[in-house]
Order: sequence, then structure tokens, then C-alpha cells
Amino acid sequence: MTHKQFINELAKNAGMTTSETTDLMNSFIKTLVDSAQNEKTIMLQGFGSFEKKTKAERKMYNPSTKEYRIIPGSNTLAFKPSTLLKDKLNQDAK
Amino acid sequence: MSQKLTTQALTEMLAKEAGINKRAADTFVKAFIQTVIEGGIKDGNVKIKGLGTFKVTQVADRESADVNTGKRIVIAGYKKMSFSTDINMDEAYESVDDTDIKENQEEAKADKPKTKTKATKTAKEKKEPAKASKNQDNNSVIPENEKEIQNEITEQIPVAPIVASSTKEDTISAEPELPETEVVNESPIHNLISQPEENEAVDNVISDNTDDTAEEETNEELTQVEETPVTEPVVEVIPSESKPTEVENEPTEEGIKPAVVENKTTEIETESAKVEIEPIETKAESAPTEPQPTKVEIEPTKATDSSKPTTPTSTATSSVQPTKKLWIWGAVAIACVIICAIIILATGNSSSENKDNQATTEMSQNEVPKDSVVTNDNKPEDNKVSKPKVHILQKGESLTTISVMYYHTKDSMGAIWKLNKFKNPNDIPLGTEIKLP
Repeated sequence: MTHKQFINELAKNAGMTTSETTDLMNSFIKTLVDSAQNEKTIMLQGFGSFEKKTKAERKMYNPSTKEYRIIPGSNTLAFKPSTLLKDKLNQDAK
Repeated sequence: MSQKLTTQALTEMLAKEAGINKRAADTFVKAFIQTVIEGGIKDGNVKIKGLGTFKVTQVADRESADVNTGKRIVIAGYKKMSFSTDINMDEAYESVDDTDIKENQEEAKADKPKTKTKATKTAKEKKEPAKASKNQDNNSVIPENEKEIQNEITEQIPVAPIVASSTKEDTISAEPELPETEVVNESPIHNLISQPEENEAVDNVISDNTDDTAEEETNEELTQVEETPVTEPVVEVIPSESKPTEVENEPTEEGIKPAVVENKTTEIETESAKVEIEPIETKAESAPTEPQPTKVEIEPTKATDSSKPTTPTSTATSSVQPTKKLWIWGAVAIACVIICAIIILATGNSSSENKDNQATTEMSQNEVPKDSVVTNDNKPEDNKVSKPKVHILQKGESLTTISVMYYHTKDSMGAIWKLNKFKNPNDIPLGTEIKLP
């Protein structure tokens, strides 16, 4: 499902126009990322939780040049699905 | 500890961010969750631009052992949703806060190739320096770094445009064939000198430190001190091309001077101020003679001129209650000796640099033939390898190693095998002659 399809589907579900939906989606992502940046865990009920995750820096070995390179650590957004979501996914399979 | 943010809190924040009421935000968030789940079930993955991709993956059945009984059991497979981010949080955070900085960086990147046009624009805006900069542009093809420096110069000059432009024109008219490197050496001097002239704040700081009586005098002194060095280094560059090191040394001295002047004025108050006036007046008298460059003859006078700004520093710091003139003359003599030493050192350095350059050129010349020799060596080796038609098998060798040895591939092993008609290529007695195709 591409972004465009997703926006169309979301607009249908929310009962809004696509342009409104894209604007709202952008502000939604912004609030989500900002609050995650401020060390907050966003718990969406029935879906999962978003959290900032710090990736440590690590050594990488390049076998062709035989050199070690340090890949710097970074902060990423991690998602942990809730058990309810797991149930929902597997309900339909059954 | 990380705070927890419930759906409700998020919807409130979203409502505030987007400027809608809470109910609409709530419906939106619920619709978002619903569509992601439905899309995941339907298509397997949901891509959201700016956030990431939700993917529904099937976890296969796997076997495990019951801890209590030790029997084998099968854990049933299931579907799970995984998420991979589209965003690096560090970058996202930067984009929120440091948008201005990024834009500036982008502008700077965009400007780099356009330095030529910018240099001309700045030159057009300011009339008097424009002549000098245009002449420089016409005379020599100048790399980008120098152009940036020239931009700085053109920006800084207008406060004291007459002095700088006159000196520049002198340099250009006298020696238009000056090498580019000297142009580079000139420019930082102008920067150093023109900055203190522009910055009245510096003068103000100094005047704040000094007593009220010394304020006006020190200001006059500073301006005089700063004006005189403007002409000196440039004129010294003219006569001899081999003295860029002098030019590099002097600006440091000049850079130090104003600071020392500050110290003097604070410490010695009114008496020292009176002492300082006299040498600087001599400077002012000698300064107008400088812009008429008859090259080598005026050089020593300029050297003394450049020494004079240094003299008050030594006199004032050494003697709080001076016997004025004696000290001044003594300091002048010392400064002359110092400058002579600097000149000798500079010439020595330049000669040594020339030697180094010659050495490097010799080295480079030597290196080239070496390379050619090496290439020649490689060719006969290749010929040697390909020449022999028979190879005597030795311990540890096989047809593949021989093939690699002579043809650099394993592929011709089959050809060797066929040519020699071995029954078993893995069992060949030592010392057998192997014909090579």
C-alpha cells in the first residue's frame, strides 16, 4: 500500500478530503516525532507504542579494504505493536 | 524515565498543532490506526511518507521443547507487524530547530560557484575599491579562495577607502606582474588593518579603560598607529618578490600592537599617554612620505616606520617614569636590529624554501624514471612466465596451481590435463614434465 493509497483510504475512513488528510497527517507525524524526541512514549491503544530508540555506534569491518570504520550512533523511532494488534492480525487469518 | 503519552493526550496535542477540535483529531487518529491495520492485512505493508513503513510479516511455525516434560512441541506461527522508520530522529530534530542554519548552509553551497559574479557585484556597489579589485581581476586569473578574500576586502575597505585603494593602485601600477601568492599575502594584511579601523567599538573599549584625560589622545594615537601600517607592508612587498615571509610576520606584530596599547593606557594613565604622543607624531610625519614608492631607497625608512609602532610598547612597559627621548631613540635602535634580523631570517627561509623546492622537483624527476623502470621490469617477468613450455611438477603443486601460476586462471587446468593425457590428475608422480599449452 503506497502513501497515496493510504491517504485515500484514510480520508474515506475519517470522512475528510484528501488535502485535509495530508495536512493533518503531516501535523500528526510532527506531533508524534516531537513528543518522541522529548523522551515520551506514545501509546496508541489497540495499535502499539512509538518510542525514541538510541542506536549505539558500532564498528564495521570492510573485508575488501581490511579497515575498521566506526558507524556513529543515531536516534530512531521504534514501534512496538501491542498484543491487541497481534490478536487482530491473527483473527483475520483464522 | 520516559513519560507515557496516551492516545487522548496525543489527540489533544494534535488538535492544538493542527488547529482543529478534539473530536476531529480523535476521529482522525482512530481512522489512522484502522487504516494502517486494514492496509497491513490487505496488502502486507503500508508506506507512509515522512514516518516509515508498517509491514505485516508471517512468523513461521517453530519447534521447541517443553521445559517441564522435555517433549517436543510446536509453537504455532503468527503474523506480526513490524515498523521501519523513514526518519533519522537527529535529522528530524534538526529540521525542526535549525532550519535557518540549514538554509544558510544551502545558500553558502549555492554561492560557492557564483563567487565570480558576487565579486563583481560588490565591486560595483563600492566605487573606489572597485577600481582596485577590477584591476586585480583583470591582471591575474585568481582562484576562488582569493576572490573570497577580495570580497572581504571590498566589504571592509569603504570605511577607510582612500588609504587602501591608493596603496592597491600603487601596487598594481608598479608591478602588475606580481605573482598570485603575493596578492594573497597582501590581502590578510588589509583585513587585519582595516578591521580595527572600522571597529569603533574597539576604540570605545580602549577609551573606557583609560582615564578621561587620555581618551581623546589615545583615540588619535590608535588611528594613527593603524593608518601607518596600512601602507608599510604593501610597499615592502613591492621591491622584492622573495619577501612574503616578512609580510606574514609583520601583521602578527601589528595585530599585537593595539592590545599592548590598551595595556599601556590602563596602567600608565596620563604620563604614559603624553609619552606616547611624541613617537606617534613622528610616525604621522613619516607616513605621508611613504605612498611615493621609489622602491629600494625608501625601504629602510619604512622599516623604521614599522618599528616605531613597536617602540612605544617597549618604552611604556619598561619605564613608568621615562626620560622620554633617550628611551625612544634606544628603542628605535633595538627595533632596527630586530627588523634586520627578521629580514635576514626571511631571506634565509626563502632560499631554503627554494632549495626544498628544487629538492622536491629533483625527487619528482627521479620518481618518474623509477616508475618506467618498474613497468619495464614487469613486462619481462610476464614474458618469462609465458615462455617455458614444460613445467616439472614439484611437491604440493597441482594442475590448478600450475594453471593459476602461468595463466592466472583455474580455467586452463583442463587444457593442461588434455594436453598431457593424464589418467588421474589428482595422482601425478613428482618430477613429471608437464607440457604447457
